Amino acid sequence: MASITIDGVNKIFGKTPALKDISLEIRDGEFMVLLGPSGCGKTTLLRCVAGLEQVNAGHVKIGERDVTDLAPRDRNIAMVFQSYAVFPHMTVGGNIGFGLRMKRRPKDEIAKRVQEGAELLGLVPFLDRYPAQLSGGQRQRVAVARALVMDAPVLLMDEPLSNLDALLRLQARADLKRLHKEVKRTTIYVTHDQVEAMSMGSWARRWRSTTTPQRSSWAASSARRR
Amino acid sequence: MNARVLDRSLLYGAAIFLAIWVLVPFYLIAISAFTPQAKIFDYPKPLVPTSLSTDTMQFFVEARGVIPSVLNSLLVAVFTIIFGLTLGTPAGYALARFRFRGREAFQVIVLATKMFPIAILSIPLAVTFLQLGLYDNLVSVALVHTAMALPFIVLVTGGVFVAVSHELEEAAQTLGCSRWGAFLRVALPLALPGLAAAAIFTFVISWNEVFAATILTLRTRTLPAQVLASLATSPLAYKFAGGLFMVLPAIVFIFLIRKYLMNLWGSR
Repeated sequence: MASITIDGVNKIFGKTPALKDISLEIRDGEFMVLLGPSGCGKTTLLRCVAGLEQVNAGHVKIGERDVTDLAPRDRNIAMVFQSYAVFPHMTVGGNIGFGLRMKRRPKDEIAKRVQEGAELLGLVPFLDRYPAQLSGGQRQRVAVARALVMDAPVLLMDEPLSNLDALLRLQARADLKRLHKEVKRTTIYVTHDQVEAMSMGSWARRWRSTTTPQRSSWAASSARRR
Repeated sequence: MNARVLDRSLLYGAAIFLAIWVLVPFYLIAISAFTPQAKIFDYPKPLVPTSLSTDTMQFFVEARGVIPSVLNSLLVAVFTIIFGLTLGTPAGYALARFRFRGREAFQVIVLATKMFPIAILSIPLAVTFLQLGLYDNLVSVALVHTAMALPFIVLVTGGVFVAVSHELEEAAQTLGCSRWGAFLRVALPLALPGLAAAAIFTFVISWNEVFAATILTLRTRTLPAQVLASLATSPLAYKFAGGLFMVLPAIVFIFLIRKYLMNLWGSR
């Protein structure tokens, strides 16, 4: 298990500052929701933690390890993308086991953990199907299962429910909450939906861009314990 | 008749029209190639051939230099595909993924290479290849064909990689792939149908190219060069035979590679 420490992180795209001196601590096992309007940089911050963006200044620590200069695959994280990013040329089983295959785990262990992941998300009947044959909700569950079986101590979610219809979203929200209780990973969850943020997180932190139209500086305007 | 039926019939009508447009000349060449020499000038031509003979075709195929030139052409086409895709795919990928300085300029320059007619380039190229000792060599012909096909390959593969979501590669990276591994395991397999299209195109460019091949070779002729050199003065029947013979491998090749074009994964 691991905490996440974001220390004075700056990120600049070209000449536009996207993150300005952001510091944030997420404790071990915590479910942190980043809430804010679109374009304010929540996703950028998440991608900096994942290693998909290089920070211009500051540090990111996972546990006691400084991961600022590490590639995504060396950070021990798992991520769920807004578009799910499920691989269309692999079956559901292939998708869920992809990360384990990349880590060169033994075959029987992969089979076992894929089965467990599929059971956890109710995907067992679909293991041999291709993503094109699944509904949006099922694809979303594949993305979550794929991230969970990695057993990474840190789970990053970028608006994982925003592409689902309202009813399905309620269901998925409840599922994610249950999963978090079961697996207890340190989680950062990005959303622009206030209701979602309030119902999910152990901490909800609201970020707001300043008055200038540029997404230059932010302030944490409220933080409350639930 | 509702709008959908109309849509359908227009679509199928257009498809049938295009198919006929393309197939009729092939058909005429094919039956002419198998018509006995004496009947080749018959008019009106019967739609279904009344008498078939393989004499002309046989004579053409057995003519000196035809079989070796076919092999030469195939080799040149394969080399061209290998060179072209090896050089062009990374360039297309870079154009699709990275916003680098001079990107637009690069695109224009890639296209600008098409502005120089091969007729102008051939003579200096022949001289250069003579000096380098590459003259009358299949690899040199393949190099020229690669240069001709590269702009298409770069632009086509660029378009292909734009269509493969970058998030898929990022997801692969968070799941334990390096940048390169994510390309190999995710972007490349998804781009295969498009790359196959680029390969077909390259094959056709190389297979049909006659000017550079004629100028740059003497003994190791490719098929078009051989046909040009030997059939110009032959009777009409042999021209049909040569024409059919040149078209056939391209058709076979497209049939073989067709499923990669049509068969995008899943149910669509």
